[in-house]
Amino acid sequence: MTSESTEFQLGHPQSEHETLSVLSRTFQTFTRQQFAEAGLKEGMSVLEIGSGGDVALIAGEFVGRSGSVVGIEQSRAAVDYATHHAAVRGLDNVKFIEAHIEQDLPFDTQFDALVGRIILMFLPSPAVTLRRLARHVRPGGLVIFQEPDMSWAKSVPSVPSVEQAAEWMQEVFRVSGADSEFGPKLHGIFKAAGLPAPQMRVDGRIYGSEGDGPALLAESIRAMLPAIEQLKLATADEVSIKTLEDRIRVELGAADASMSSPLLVSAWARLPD
Amino acid sequence: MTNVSMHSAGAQPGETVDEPSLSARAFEPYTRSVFLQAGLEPGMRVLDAWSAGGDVAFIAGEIVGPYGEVVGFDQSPEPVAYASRRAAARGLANVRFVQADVAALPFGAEFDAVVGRVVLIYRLDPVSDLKALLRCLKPGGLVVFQETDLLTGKTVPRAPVVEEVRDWMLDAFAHAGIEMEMGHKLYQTFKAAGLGPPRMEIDGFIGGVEDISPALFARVVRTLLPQLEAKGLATAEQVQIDTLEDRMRADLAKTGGVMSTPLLIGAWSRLSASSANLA
Repeated sequence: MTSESTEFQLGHPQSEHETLSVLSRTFQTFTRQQFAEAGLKEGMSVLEIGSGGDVALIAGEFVGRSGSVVGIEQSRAAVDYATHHAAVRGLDNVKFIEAHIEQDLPFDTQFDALVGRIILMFLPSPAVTLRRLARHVRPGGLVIFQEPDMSWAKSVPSVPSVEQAAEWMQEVFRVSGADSEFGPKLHGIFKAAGLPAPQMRVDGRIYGSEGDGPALLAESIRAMLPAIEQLKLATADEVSIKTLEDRIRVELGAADASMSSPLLVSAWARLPD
Repeated sequence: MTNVSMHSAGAQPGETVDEPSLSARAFEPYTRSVFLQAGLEPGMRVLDAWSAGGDVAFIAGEIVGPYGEVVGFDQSPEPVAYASRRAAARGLANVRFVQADVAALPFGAEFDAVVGRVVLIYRLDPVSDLKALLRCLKPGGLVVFQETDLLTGKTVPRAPVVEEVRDWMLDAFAHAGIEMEMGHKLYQTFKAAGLGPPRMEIDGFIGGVEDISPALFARVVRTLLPQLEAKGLATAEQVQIDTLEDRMRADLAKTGGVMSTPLLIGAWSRLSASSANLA
């Protein structure tokens, strides 16, 4: 894994006191749509990796009481955090275990589906890991992954605060070694992992000054602020994080412009029977 | 209306009359999903603007059901006749098509929703056209459009043959004066027409060597070929239209990557219940 700050900037809540980020809420919708489209159903057993719990809980809703979800988290703290949230939501069909997803999992269970969101992009050899994880999927089972493509985000007409923030984000990604254009590469990663060529789609939202867009972008920049300063992309004064959301809102409003969220790319395939 | 199009209204050689065009097939799930999110419901009367081959009207027809009705209009007789034949072939009693000009629509404020897909992009004045369409809506009626952002397609990793084809298409559209970012500009267009800020979503289709995107691009380039040659953007020898799809597939096979069609952007909003803003 790369640094935690890289992962956090994509919308993982930092503590249980923090409410779910705007980006997480947006991506939740896309995960639900995708699970429905790919055919995740009541009664299925699902293996979920590394989302911080969010995706496992959505899978838990889909498979219901007759199904089950095992979420893999890479630290005790993450397991505790996710377990707590499952309990709060009353989902007793979801459990979390601590394991390293780049090593063999400590069980040989076969699942009906393997799912994950914003996790493969942080791995040094995603295809190798995916191949190993897919051994835990039964013949005819489903594999569904969602990873972002940050390279498409833009404002129309172009607004300086949005373009500047997008540039900082791209640069932090580039330097941290994470691939801002990872989503579309899922196709090649599925094939390199020995899986069938996946079906793929892209989802995103567009917001005007009155929508969630300014908060979403400002929240991402807030999470990246240490990295932005460390890489000398901008000083804290230049970013002025406290007023960033308002400035984006005002600029969008003045130009009657709209801005896009980061896009989430989904890839899904069914294993041969 | 420009004479450059991303999709053809009529059946191509070798297609049966009822087959949707390739772009219609690629976009169908996104259109259904946006219609449902926007609140299209059984029993509604829907106006489909510039209905072309009828694919969008058929999706709306499925949703509004036997107690609803969809009326599609287009400005020339050919697409109206073609879409009517397709509706008849499908035995659809709740979908019909009429010939009409947007500036002289033969309707009162009688529809529950007005919809359209990849149509405003071809209009010289989308705001005034949208205003004309809104006059056909009941107070509180739904407005749902999907338009593309032509600047968003790409190949990952870069596939040079596909990118060259994309450049030809974009050049041809640019020469025709098409609004490349119409999808994003639905936001401003809705507001300028007097609607509240729309909810908007982005959808896109990504495919590899085994998917329909190369066929879709080749089809579009075939329709653009006369413009490409007339404007000196590409010659028939450069394009080699008969082998173009195969060459794009070979390109993707070599890179092992994917190509995306331009993103489809959906926007929906409701007319205010008083609709005084449109007087």
